[in-house]
Amino acid sequence: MELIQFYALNIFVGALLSIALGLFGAHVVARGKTLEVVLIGQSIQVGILVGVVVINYLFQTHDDHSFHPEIIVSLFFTFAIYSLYEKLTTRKKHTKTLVLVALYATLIAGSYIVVAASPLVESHMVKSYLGDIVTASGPELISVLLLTIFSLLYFWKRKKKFLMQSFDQSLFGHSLDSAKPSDNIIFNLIVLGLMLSSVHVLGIIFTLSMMILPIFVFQFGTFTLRQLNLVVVILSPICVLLGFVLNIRLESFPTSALITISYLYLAIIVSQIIKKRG
Amino acid sequence: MLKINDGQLSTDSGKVLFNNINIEISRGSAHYLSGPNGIGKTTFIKALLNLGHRLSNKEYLFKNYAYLPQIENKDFLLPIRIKDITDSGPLLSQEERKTPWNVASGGQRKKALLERVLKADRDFYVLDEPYNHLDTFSIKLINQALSDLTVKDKSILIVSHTKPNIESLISWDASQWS
Repeated sequence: MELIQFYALNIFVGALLSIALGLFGAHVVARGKTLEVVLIGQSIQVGILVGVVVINYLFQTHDDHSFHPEIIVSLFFTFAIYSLYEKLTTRKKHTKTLVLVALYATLIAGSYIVVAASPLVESHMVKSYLGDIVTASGPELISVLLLTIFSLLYFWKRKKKFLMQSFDQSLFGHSLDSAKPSDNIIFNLIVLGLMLSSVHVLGIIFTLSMMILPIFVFQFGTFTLRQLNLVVVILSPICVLLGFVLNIRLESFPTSALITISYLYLAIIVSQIIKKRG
Repeated sequence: MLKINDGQLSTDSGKVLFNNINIEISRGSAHYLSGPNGIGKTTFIKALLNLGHRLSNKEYLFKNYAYLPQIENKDFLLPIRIKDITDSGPLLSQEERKTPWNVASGGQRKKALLERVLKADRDFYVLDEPYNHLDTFSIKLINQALSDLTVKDKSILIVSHTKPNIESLISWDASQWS
C-alpha cells in the first residue's frame, strides 16, 4: 500500500495515458494505420537510442533522473522516418505494407547496431520495450500529464468529427467533405505526442497494447461505440493499477507486460459479459 | 464557380483519359454526367475535387463541397450504428438507424450517406451513382432534395446511369471528351 501511495502520481499518469491511447488508438486502427503505429513505435525507440548516443557524445553526460533531451532527437528521427515512408508510398499506395515492413526490419537491425556500437544504450533498449514509469522524473510526469489531459479534452470536443474522419478514411480513403486539413494534422500530432511520451515512460509493448487491444477484442461480437469507449475509460486505468499491484508481488515481472496480459484477459471477460447481456 | 477550358484528364500513372473538356458550373445549376462504364467518370470527379489524378486548365472557385462516392460494401472497424452517421432525415426510419453499420444492407448504407451529404451546408454537391440500391420512393425524395438545393443557389453534379428527374438539368456525355 505504501508503495502504491509513493508512486500515486506515476500510476495516475499511466492510467490517464492508457485512456488517451485507447481512445485515439481505436481511431488510428479504424483509419487503417495499424502497421504505421508499429513503425512509429519502432522509430521512437531507435530515435531514443540514437538520441542517447548523440547527447552523450556532445555533452559527455547522461542523467537518467532529469529531463531526457533524447526525446527531442527521437521526435525528429521519427518524423524523418515517417516522412520517408510517406514519400515512398504517396504515388504507390499498393506498396504500403511492403515499405512498412522493410523500414521496420531495417529499424530493428539499426537498433542492434546502435547497441553494439555503444553498449551504454543497452539499458535504454530494454527500457523502451518494457518501459519503467517508476523511474520517470517529476518534470517528465507533469509534461506527460498535461499532454494527456489536453488530448482527452480535445478528443471529447472533437469526437464526432474524429469519428466521421475515421469513417471516411476507412471506407473511401478521403473525406466526403471539404474538411480542413488542420483537423487531420492535429489528430496525427496528438497521436505522435502520446506515443512518444508513452514509449518513453511505459515502453512500446504498453503503448501498442493500449492502442490496439480494445478495438481488437471488440471485433468479436456486436457492440456499440459507447460500450467500446466505456471499456477503454474504465478498464484501461484499472489494468494499469492492477499491473502495479501485481508487480509488487511479482517483482521480477515487468509492469507493462503484466498490464498488457491483464488487459487482454479482463477485456475478453468484459466483452463476453456485454455480449451475453445483449 | 467552376470552369474548365480545353481541359485534359490524366491518371496518376500518366494515362490520358479525356481531352477537350469544356464545362462551366455556375451557382444554383444542376449537371448530369453520363457515359459508358469504365470511361473515367469517377476519376474525373476525383480530379475535379483535388482528390487525386490530374485535370488541367481548371478554375475552381467553390469554397466547399460535399461528395457522395460510389459505395463499396466495406465494413468499418469501429462498432458504429447508422445513427452515428445520420440521426435524422427523410430516407431512414428510427428503427433502421439502430442497425449496426456492418450488418446494414447496401440500400441502408447508401441512404445513410445520402442523408449525411445532403444535410451538409455546402456550395457544391457531387454525387456518384446516388440512385443505386434505392427504391422509387427514395429516388423521388432525393430528386426533390436536390431541386431544393438548386433553389438555395447550391450547385450539383450527378454521375449516374439513370437520368435524374430534376428541372433545368444540364447534361454532359463523357464519351464526347475521349
